[in-house]
Amino acid sequence: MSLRKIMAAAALGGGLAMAPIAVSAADFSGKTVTIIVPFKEGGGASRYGRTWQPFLQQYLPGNPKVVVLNKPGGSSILGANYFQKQKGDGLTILTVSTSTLTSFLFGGNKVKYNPNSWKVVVANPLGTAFYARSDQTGIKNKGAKADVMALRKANLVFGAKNKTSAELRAFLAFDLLGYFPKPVFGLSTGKQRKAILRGELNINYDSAAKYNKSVTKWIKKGTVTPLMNLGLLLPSGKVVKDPYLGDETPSVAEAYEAVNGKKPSGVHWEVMKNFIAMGVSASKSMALPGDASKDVYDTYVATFKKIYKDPKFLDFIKKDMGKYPHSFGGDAQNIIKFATSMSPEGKKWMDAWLIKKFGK
Amino acid sequence: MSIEEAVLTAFTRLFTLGHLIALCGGVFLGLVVGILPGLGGVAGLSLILPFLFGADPSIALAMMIGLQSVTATSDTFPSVLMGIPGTSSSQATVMDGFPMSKKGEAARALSAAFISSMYGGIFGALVLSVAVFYAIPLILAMGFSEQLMLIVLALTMIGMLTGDNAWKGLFACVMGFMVKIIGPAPMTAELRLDFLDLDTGYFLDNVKLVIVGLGMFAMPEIIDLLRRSQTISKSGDLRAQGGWVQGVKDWAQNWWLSTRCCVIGCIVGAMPGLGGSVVDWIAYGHAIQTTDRKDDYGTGDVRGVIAPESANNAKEGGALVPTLLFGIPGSGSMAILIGGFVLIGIEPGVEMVTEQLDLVYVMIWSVALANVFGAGFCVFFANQIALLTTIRYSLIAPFMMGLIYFAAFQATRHWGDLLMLFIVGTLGVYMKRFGWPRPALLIGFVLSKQVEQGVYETYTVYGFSFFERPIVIVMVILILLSVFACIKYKPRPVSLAEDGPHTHKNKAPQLVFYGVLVAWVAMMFVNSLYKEDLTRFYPQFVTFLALLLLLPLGLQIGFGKKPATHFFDSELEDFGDHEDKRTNEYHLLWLVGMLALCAVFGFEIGVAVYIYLFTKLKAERTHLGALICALSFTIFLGVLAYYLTLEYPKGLLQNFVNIGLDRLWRG
Repeated sequence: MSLRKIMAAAALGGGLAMAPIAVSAADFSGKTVTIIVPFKEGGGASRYGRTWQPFLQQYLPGNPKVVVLNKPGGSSILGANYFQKQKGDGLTILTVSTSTLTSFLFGGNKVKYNPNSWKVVVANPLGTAFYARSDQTGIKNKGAKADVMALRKANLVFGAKNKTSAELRAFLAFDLLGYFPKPVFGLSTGKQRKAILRGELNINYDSAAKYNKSVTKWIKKGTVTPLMNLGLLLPSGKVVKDPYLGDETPSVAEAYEAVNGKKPSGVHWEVMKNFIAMGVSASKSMALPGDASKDVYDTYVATFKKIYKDPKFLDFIKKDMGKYPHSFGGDAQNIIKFATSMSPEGKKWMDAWLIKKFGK
Repeated sequence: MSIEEAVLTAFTRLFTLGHLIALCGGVFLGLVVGILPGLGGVAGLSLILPFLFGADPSIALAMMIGLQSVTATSDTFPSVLMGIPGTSSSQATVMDGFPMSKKGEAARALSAAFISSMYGGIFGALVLSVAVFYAIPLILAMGFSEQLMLIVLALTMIGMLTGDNAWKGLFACVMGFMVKIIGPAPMTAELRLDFLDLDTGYFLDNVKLVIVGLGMFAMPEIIDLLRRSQTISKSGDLRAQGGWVQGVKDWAQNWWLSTRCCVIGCIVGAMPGLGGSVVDWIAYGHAIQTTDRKDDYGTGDVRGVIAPESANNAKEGGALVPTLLFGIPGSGSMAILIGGFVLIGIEPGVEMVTEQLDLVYVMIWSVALANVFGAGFCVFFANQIALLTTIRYSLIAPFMMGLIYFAAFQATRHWGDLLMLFIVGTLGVYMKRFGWPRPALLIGFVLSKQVEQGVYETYTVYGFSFFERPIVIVMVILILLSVFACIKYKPRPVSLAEDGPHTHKNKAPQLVFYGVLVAWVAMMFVNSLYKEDLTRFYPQFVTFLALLLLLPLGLQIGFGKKPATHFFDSELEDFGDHEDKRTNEYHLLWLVGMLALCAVFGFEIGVAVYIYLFTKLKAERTHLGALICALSFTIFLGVLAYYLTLEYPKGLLQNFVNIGLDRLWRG
């Protein structure tokens, strides 16, 4: 082969290598997609994020390698701040949990993210189930009114992480119904559960997933009695019955009505609705960075829709989030928006309420 | 299912070929992640979790248990050979294990450790087989007040670790409280010392144990070694003091101590609130408290290796109890284990004992079997790996530095991790120099949050009536006994020579260090004034305590006219015939240089350049040799990043050009 031929071949090869490869923007072959979980390994949010991993790997165009990156700290503030700075090229996706939204509202100046700037792909509601120790509170599951009356007389102790953590929704619900337990702060969810089994706390709540898995067993043994749920807020802003817990227990609105003879209303209830959206309807969701192109966003929404057609996936989620109506794209976005946009009036009321209930 | 039936079914399943192979696979992975400092069960389990989906449940189970059970076995390698705790539960092993390596007894220390680990693992599993029936009422009896008492008891047992001067030791413990106080208050999430954060978000979380452990032990030891000797092992002859046979004999002579520590391990593992990171220290403290020749501890006494290693493997079995019976994880790795269980369709809960007893036994005995395999592997390779200690240290040191900074970054994956390790490490260097006991700081650090929360929880739930609870009364008696033992049996320092490290002359450096401590305490107190009640009570109490301890110390150091234990400066010690006469500060500057390089070019390149320069200039290798060293570390980082999905600290330049190597392994 002559030198000229070699050079020509090399030029041709180089030209080929440099020519733009005709692939659509949302093809991830050979890439690595990172699911950021802003919580510790092992918790509910981490499990949720990891649930998607094998399926995203299977259904995202180009079958990219999908990895989970736990970035815990400051009830998800650190991880969410990190995510806010990521590019919307579809190679980074965030697991959003109730705490991420609560921290956005109450986290102060450490919060450098805004959930409303993100492109929410899918939102998965998960009910909030309240229960109390049968022996200490006198509740016997004899109707919402009797339970509330018993609880108003009981000496209630409730565990929470701190006064602005995700447990706020429980404090608001208790107060709406006219009772307010003594708070013990600094307790993680796991510690709360152990303490209620020991009888040092006597009222508690769990997500529907955890409820299904362990609380139902304690109920069967008679240690605790189911109390109520928060209900479910739809993307339209309407609060409806919880599709899973609703058959067994009244929602907080139903309990209120049973006691007071009228539906809840006013600013306390409006704030409560924000918290139902945060705690139940937007319990878990997946979001892309705000500057994700329409192409990338649509690809992701379509991929999650495909995952929801996989019987293996449906079987895997049937015990918890499969019981709740998920939403994609714009609908999911609306839920996050509703959850995080408290009215100025509501915000003022909330600030005053926090000081009244917990001091400075 | 009857117990006999369950036992039989479990045995049959345990010894099927598939189960054994999977178990060995898990054991192998567990040993590998255990050897790497900073990575433990959490990293290992996270690694295999994605592959478990849809896997055969019994295989998946065997892999997970195998992996989880042995990380506390192989973590002994770095603890003994390099003075770097492999995981948080082998920190106490460093105390005597590393001095043994220096004496040339690495193989002996390792084999004693592995036999103890194996014994601990098997013992834990056997106890569990019976205890699983009685565990529930016991765990339910341990309320907030009992947990608090347990922590106080642990603190008193650790009182044995306060070193020559009790005031300094107690202050170091309080210092540990103070390091933990930085960051969010547990009850309010309000930030303490928030001005330190500088808007980086790093102190949104408390300082991580990994960083304090590496900073207190690894960094000062590496620097010390660089200054002192050519190789870790002074004799250079591994077999001189007996190889692995001697270690086995040592264990046999101390089997009773080992057994007692196993019991401690089981109890601490099963009890909520204490956690695995103190079990090794409690066992170590217990060993000093209850055996003779106390002065030998800390200088390379094999009992100081046997005690923590027996306890930290026995703990794994104990920790399975709350995990299996309540579905409530006792540690990070147990949390992932539960996640894995759920993936393969096992629902932890009390019902497991009644309905799936065979499965419970398969798990428990898999723990025992994994420990046998793990210890076997390790003993087999101990002699070869121990040869590391005969390599010239200036050749290993840069790798060690790279490795501990790598490990630190795994704590939160924030740049602050690197700086924090440097700061804590510098503190460790000077605490070592001036004789402030570092184990005491570590214990204070680990237990700080539990002390704060325990007091608050107990008071909120019980008021003062908690003293009426029977278990509390028993524990108060135990605490008093332990304090008594501490005072009576505490080892006394021997020589206080005029020209030794305890001299009263040349005390200016000590006074400067003392001044820094006072300034820190004062700053912490002032900052707490502006916080809400539940945020400020604890730091105010702690700073008050700190001043109470510092005041007499200050008087003694300031006005003391003769050699005493409150004086200490290792610089005044006889250094022996070492080659390198450089100071601590010189080596700290090397690290500043490394961090600066990382800040500009990113971690992979920064550390590689550091290794290259260090190997070239300090170890006096050729350019090629230095280049190979630097490259091999980079490749090591790359392989880890690829398989464990790690990322490395970015440099400023990487904001503009992607010069990091993550392109290569992240796509």
